[in-house]
Amino acid sequence: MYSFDEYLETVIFPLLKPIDKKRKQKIVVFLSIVAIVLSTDIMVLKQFYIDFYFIFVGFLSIIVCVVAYKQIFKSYSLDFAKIVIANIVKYIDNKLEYSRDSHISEEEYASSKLYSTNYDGFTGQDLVYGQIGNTRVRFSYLYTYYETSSTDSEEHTTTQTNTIFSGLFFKADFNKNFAGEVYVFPHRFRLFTPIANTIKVEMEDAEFNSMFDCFGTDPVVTMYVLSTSLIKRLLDFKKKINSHIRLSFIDSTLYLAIENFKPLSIPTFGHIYNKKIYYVYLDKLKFAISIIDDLDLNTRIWGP
Amino acid sequence: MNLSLIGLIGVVVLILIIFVALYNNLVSSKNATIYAYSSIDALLRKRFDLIPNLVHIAKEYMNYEKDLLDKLTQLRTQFKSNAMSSAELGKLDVESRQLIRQVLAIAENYPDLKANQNMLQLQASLNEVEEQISAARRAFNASVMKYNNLIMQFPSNIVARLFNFKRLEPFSIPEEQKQPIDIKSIFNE
Repeated sequence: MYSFDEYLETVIFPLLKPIDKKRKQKIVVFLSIVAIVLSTDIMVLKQFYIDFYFIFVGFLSIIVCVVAYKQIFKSYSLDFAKIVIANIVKYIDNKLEYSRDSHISEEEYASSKLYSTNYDGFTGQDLVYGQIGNTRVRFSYLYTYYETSSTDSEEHTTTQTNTIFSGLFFKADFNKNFAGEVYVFPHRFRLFTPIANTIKVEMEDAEFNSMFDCFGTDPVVTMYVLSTSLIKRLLDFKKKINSHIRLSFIDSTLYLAIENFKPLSIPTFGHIYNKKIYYVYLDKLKFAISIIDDLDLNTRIWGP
Repeated sequence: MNLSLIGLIGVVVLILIIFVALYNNLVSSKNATIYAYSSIDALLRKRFDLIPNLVHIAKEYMNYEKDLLDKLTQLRTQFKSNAMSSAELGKLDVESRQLIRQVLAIAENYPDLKANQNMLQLQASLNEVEEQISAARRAFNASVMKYNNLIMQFPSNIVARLFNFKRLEPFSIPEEQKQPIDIKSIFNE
């Protein structure tokens, strides 16, 4: 087994050569476009130096550059992810697969019942899937949002984007069979249960109750799912990540949503042989995969 | 109708509403304890239903532990579903659990029995039931605590006294069971 440094030097870096060449060509194309846009801006502003034009031209130029950037580097990003991130996933666990432009599906998101707000946008990336030990697992970065419109006195309509969820969405087999549904949400004051046909179930652990609210279709099933050992593991996990998390246990499947988990970014400018970039990927992927161990999902002493 | 009469009626109606709400809360809390208790009962039945299979499989291999298996069978006959107090049920729970543990620990000395497919399935079922009983016990104790708090706290204690709501005893959890059950150690080590 290679150390990660060795793996980078012997496996990843040799694969980077053709991509790096492609990247440098694309940088030239992009910088040329930026140069053309800037010269056009200067010419226009020299002709009509008015504040309004300055703002308009500046705004338009930014849009052109952003669109150009996305289009030019799109295929490079995909190639880079396919070669680099997919190989790092394989380095962590050979049974796992990776897809840059896939994500947790809308059906899976809906099945989790973790977010009831209707969404207008559903995107994501970096899907990792496969089997770790006895546990089938799927996770990806996910971003869901809804839009609100407001009209001012001059009848100008502004549309705002409101985030419902942005972070890591994780789905795995749960190691117990049970009938019913169990939810663990961040603790806050609620007049009603957030999920229909559930009741709030208090756990014995005061610290856990101060961080989470548990809801279930049946108190005994809820206690069965949230065993004392899982409660302890969830507490430790929450302290480790220090971010809002939500969990649901439905049809022997665990759904976990971790907020503020940023997607994997692809380096375009700068030096791509910098090992730090790859250690960030490794840490993020290892973190997601380690959820299986953190929550002890691979232990199967409850069934053959 | 003068204003003071309207005010008085208002106060009486308000007291009545609070009274009904407190009463209903007490009833639903008590029902929650009954539900949780019946879950323990049902799950203990599930455990006792597995005992004949355990005895049947173990008897084929265990020649010197017949007394232990007979004791286990005898214990099963003592179980009467929905007709035992929480103290009786608790005692039977502990005794049967300890005996099953003993049988399974001894089974480790018989490699053929340990590898028997039926035995492995039975162990898995017993593990599952054990976890479920533990959950039901926790649910029962949580609901009893909530109910007992209502009986003791003001103002629901007034309604509880009026309607003779009595304090309930939680399901006793022996010291050794207060720790999370490490069933794995019984089977794998």
